[in-house]
Amino acid sequence: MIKVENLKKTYPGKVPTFALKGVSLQVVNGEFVAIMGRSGAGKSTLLHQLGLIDKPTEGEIFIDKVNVLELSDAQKTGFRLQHLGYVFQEHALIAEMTALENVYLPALAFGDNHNHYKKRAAEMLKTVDLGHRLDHYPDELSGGEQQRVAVARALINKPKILFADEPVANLDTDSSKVVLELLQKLNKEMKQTIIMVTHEPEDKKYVNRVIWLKDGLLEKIED
Amino acid sequence: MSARIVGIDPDEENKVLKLADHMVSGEYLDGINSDEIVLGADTAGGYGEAPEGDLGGVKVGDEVQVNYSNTITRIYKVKGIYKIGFYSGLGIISSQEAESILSVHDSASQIFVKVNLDQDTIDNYLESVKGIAPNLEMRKYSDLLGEEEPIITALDAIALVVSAVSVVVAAITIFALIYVNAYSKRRQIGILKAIGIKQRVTVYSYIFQSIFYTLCGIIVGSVLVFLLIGPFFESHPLELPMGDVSLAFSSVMIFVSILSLLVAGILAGLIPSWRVAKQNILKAIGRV
Repeated sequence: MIKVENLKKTYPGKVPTFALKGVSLQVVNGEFVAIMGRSGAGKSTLLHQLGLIDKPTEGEIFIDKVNVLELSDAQKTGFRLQHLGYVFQEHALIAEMTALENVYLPALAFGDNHNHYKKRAAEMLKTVDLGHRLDHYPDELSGGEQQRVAVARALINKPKILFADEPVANLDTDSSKVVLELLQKLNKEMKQTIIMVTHEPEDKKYVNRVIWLKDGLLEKIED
Repeated sequence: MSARIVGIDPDEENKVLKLADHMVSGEYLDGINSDEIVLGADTAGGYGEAPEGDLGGVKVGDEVQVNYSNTITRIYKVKGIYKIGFYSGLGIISSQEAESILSVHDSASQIFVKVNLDQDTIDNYLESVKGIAPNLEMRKYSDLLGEEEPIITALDAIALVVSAVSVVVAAITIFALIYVNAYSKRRQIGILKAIGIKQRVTVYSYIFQSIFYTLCGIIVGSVLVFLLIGPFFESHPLELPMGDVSLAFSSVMIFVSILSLLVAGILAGLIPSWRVAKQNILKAIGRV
């Protein structure tokens, strides 16, 4: 479970930007949650704090009762590798590596057995319906296929939480549908906890809950 | 005219000074015939202006009369004429002939010793010999150079400066390569960090890359120096007033050069990759 208490994030500058002004929320294991709101509401900022790729100015984040903000930078890196998965908006694959190599990279970094992680990466690509694209390079894949490879990569280390930062923002309607249905399937069949930032209202139908943000504050939670 | 006559053992001399490689006419002594002499070109004459006078153009096969200071007079057949970059003014006879002139046996007034500087320093060699023969007067080659020593020192200094500049240029080149490479992939590096790849893994990969570039440079440089430039200067030495100058290498010098290049290469890879790898993840992936 993720528990967030009074999370604040201020970007310093001549005129400081108060991106999060005190957000508290909970996400239970196995949920598929969307963070929505208008541009500048603080959606991505919240996701970055939850995913430990940015440091909040104030507040606490507990992931399965671990106060993750008390971890050192090196421990956070290890925690991300072992427990968290990421799907970014675009261009998140390594161009010089095949789909299979991109997927097993986090497992390789985790120190997994050589034969084991290759086999698991291939299985993961089959799960996202790319079993026939193992040896293709990113530029040989469509945008939707690239995002599905990114999903497979995010799942290779069996993370507790999968974070997706506007994963379909740059995809056409059909590809978006395929990726979102895949995330929904992973949530339903594998009980994968997913937190996704999106700005498309129609994406609500794929998730269990929507957390609405407005001007850096929690506006409402919609089931 | 007056000239200095030395007696040598041709076989032993050839291991050290190799005058036999500098014959411009005739042959070098073979140590068999005691009535033969090898003359320096400046003594024989006919090889340019001689600073201290000459014999007016003596040829191989001519006979020369030598009046020694101990009143002994001998006539020798000129077997060969040598010329080196320095003053070529010696008359060279066999050591047996010199001993008979001086009425001595199994003794020498000078011994030239060639040492291997790859194994030890010249000062340590001097110390070792001093331990065996404390009363022996010993001089380093540089002590015998006289007016030429500052030139040798200057050439050594130039070589040192050129080496240092080469290392700096190599380091700057590798730095630029790695920086451009790492900077153009900063988003990729940011994503790798975001998914949990340790920063040091990225840095190590760039250090390996810079070591690869350095090794390539060392290999290309070695091929150029040992297979092209070195042999070229060996066969076409620079003709300076003090003598012919070609490239000289010692294994210590090569080791130091390679080591300094590797250190410079590693630093040139470490600094830019570390700077890019430590960048904030959100900045790197363009989300700020």
